[in-house]
Amino acid sequence: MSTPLLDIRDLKVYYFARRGTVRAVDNVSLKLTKGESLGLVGESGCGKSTLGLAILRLVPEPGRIVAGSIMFDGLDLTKLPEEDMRRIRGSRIAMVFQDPMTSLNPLMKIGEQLIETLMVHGETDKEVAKEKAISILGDVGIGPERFNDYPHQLSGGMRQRVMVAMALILKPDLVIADEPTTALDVITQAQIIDLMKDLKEKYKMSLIFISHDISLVSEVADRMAVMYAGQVVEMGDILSIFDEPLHPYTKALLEAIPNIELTDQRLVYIPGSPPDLVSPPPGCRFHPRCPFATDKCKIEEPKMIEVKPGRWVKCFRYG
Amino acid sequence: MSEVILEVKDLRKYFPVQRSFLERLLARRLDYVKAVDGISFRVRRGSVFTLAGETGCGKTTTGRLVARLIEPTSGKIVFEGKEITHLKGKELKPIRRKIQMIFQDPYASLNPRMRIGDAIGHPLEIHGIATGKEKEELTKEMLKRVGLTPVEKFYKAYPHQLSGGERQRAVIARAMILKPDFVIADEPVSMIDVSLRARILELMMELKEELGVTYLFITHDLAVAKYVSDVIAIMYLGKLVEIAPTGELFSNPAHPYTRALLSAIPVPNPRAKRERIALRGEVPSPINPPPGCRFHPRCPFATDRCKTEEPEMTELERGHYVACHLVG
Amino acid sequence: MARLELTISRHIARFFARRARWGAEHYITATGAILISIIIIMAIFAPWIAPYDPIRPVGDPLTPPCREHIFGTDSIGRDVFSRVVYGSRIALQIMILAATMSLAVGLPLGLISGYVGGPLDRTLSLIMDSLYAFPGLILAIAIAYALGPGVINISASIAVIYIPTYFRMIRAEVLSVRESLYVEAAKGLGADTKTILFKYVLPNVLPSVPVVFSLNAADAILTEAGLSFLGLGLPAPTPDWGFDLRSGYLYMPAGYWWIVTFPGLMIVLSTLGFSLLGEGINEILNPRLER
Repeated sequence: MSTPLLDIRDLKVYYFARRGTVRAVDNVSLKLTKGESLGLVGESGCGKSTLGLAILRLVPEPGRIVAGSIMFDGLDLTKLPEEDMRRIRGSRIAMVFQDPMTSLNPLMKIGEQLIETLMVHGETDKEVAKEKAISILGDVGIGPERFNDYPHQLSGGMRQRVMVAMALILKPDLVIADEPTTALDVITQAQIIDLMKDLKEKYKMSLIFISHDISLVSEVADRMAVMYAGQVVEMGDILSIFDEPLHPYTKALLEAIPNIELTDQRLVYIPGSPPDLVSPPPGCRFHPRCPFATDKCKIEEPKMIEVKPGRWVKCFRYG
Repeated sequence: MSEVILEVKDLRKYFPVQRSFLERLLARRLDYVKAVDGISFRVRRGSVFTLAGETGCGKTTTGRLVARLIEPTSGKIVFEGKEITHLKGKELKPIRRKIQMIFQDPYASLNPRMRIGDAIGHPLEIHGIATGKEKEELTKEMLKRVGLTPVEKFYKAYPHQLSGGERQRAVIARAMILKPDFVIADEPVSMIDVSLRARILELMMELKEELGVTYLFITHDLAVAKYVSDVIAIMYLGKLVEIAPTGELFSNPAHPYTRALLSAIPVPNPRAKRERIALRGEVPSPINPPPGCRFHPRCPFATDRCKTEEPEMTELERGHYVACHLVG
Repeated sequence: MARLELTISRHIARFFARRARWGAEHYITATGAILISIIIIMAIFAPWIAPYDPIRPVGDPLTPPCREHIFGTDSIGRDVFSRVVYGSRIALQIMILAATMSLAVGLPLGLISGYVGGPLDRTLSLIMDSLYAFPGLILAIAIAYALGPGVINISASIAVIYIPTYFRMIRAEVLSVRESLYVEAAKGLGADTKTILFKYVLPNVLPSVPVVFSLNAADAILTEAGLSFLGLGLPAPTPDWGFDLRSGYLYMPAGYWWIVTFPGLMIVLSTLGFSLLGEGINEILNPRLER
């Protein structure tokens, strides 16, 4: 296989806050091949959103990328000047955010916003731009009669579709979707997920799908990375992880979700709470809550091991 | 069969739409948001009755109506045989002892300036049950019961020093300390991390067994509803469309909306066949709901009758009720 | 024994480590606090600090600053330094009194008005807004003229200017707190209006008070100086910064700068002190309680 589209190595993103340094992303490595969709799963505060923002160099103050590299098609995004990064954002890597109401300009018609995106990135003919805009709105399920609507005239689901259209209009190589359906109703959520699956097929796009909802991820993603306390603890293809979760956290997470396909399910919870990323526990960050923790886990940090080809775990139980 | 502890009859709550001064002058009639538009149901003592639906369907408003935090526009609420629909002030206070509420947002439902111990013990003071040392004892017992240990530390702590899960447990402690008969839980775990939800749900169910509490559980998450409920009622645009025991609802959903809803629930299984029932359009505004059956504009099976005539709630089978012309 | 020393040194180390993380707002507050402390010390220890009696002439009139009179003497021969020191007593009294009176009236009114709403709220808001629209100094002049001289009267006239500010601010806070979930929860618990107001609303509204209080105090000094300058303040020969400004400024063109400058400087410093304190506290408290 060729070189991966995205190759993140030993990435560290820290927030330098008054109360201390928050190690939001602490030594993360992962790869993404072209046309693949990777699910990034974890609970609140695990660093998944920060990771997504870091790829686009959009980490807000007081955060900074302090170490590591993000190789994207031969370029190291961490070292690129801001000018070049701006050209990449939107056209080669696009992001779909959680709340469309704050990411869309409320004073601009949706059609106009799409046209403007095209014009800013080099399209000169307004008529051509308009055609492209109408076409992509059609792809996401919005008819041309809504071209001149303002965001507030659309429902939440439709606004999110516009967000997806905005992300796709420049035909980027990579789309990062950060909790794109969290603010939506169940039925609308299902519609957006179906939409993303269709577009994935049609555009053959590479996708990083960030979510706390592992069920959604299981629908959309080919591969999955599970994050805990700023680190990736397990990674691999999705069927393999669901069939045989290796890391104790992944196991517990899967058993904590109510599954309507099962009867008489016994829900599990993980005692304790996620650690403070200013001073995470020594050794393995999960050890205070892990039922299998040994003395070694309390002092030494396990390394990410490739247990089978493409299947990675960060746990002493496997080596 | 246990007795009926709560009965709601044709309950309605209309909120007047906020208008500017000029609009009020020019408009000929007042518009209302028909948040709850004629619902009726019965809850049996000791059960978990869930009101499920998407945002804006009226379930939260229903919860607040039953808790008498707001007053109904019309209809009746009968609790333990007594009508509480229009009680106020002094008469309402003894009811408050028996009906308690747990809220969705653990960050917002605790007074940021009150210590946890004081907050949990406050209901005892309000209802004249205990004060001083006795109040402290009972509070500490409650803290232990919900797992907020070491008790001393949590007794003195302020809400901002606790995590989300801990705060929610404090809210549960505050609700349960009066040993209420009826607890309305409005999305109690929606804002809690997935890995901690089971803890809260387990605690709620344990307390149910111990204290004989009946729950009115409100949620948009049907997977959670399936896990905890005895009976589930589906709401859409201010109306009830289906009521059934949990197992029955999931194995034989009758109403088209219920079926669409169930098909949309995400499942943690990458191999699952997700055959979704597609619905047309979006949820209409509750200010001017569609005539006839509220669901008809989006229903794949709508007939002419559905567009003009509102369906009545009829009993399909024992305990299974539907409001649909095609099924009823 | 070694363990105890370790704990102590650890505490001391942490104390300084936390200080090292001081931001601008801490320095602002500290500077303000220091300035105010100086004035308070001046007021309390005036008899010991001031070398002379501030009311009686003790030297030749219009003497420039020298060894015997470090701030010089005024037109009657009183020691300017002593007057400045004793002036701090009056200044502080009026400041605190005025601010407290404002608070005592504005806070309860804002609280009740905001919580109860309805016609009471609309009426009070109307009254307060009208009062607020009046230029402060003019209002104070009118009331001071009506009430006559005296510390309490002056404080009252200054207090009136600030009542609408407290009212508005408290009312705004109450309006937002009233809608919060924990107040609704309190109602659900069965708490009555009185309990809710005192245990749930008031404690959450109070944090914004110290800021306004400080700024109020700062403003009060200026207003008081203004009143005295216009002759509506305290009667002579009370040592009062504003009064000294008035009596002294006639001599400025002739080159006798020290009579005006030092009282003026004191007014500036005390206003600055309270302003810095108020602004600093405001910065520290916002953002509010962390999650």
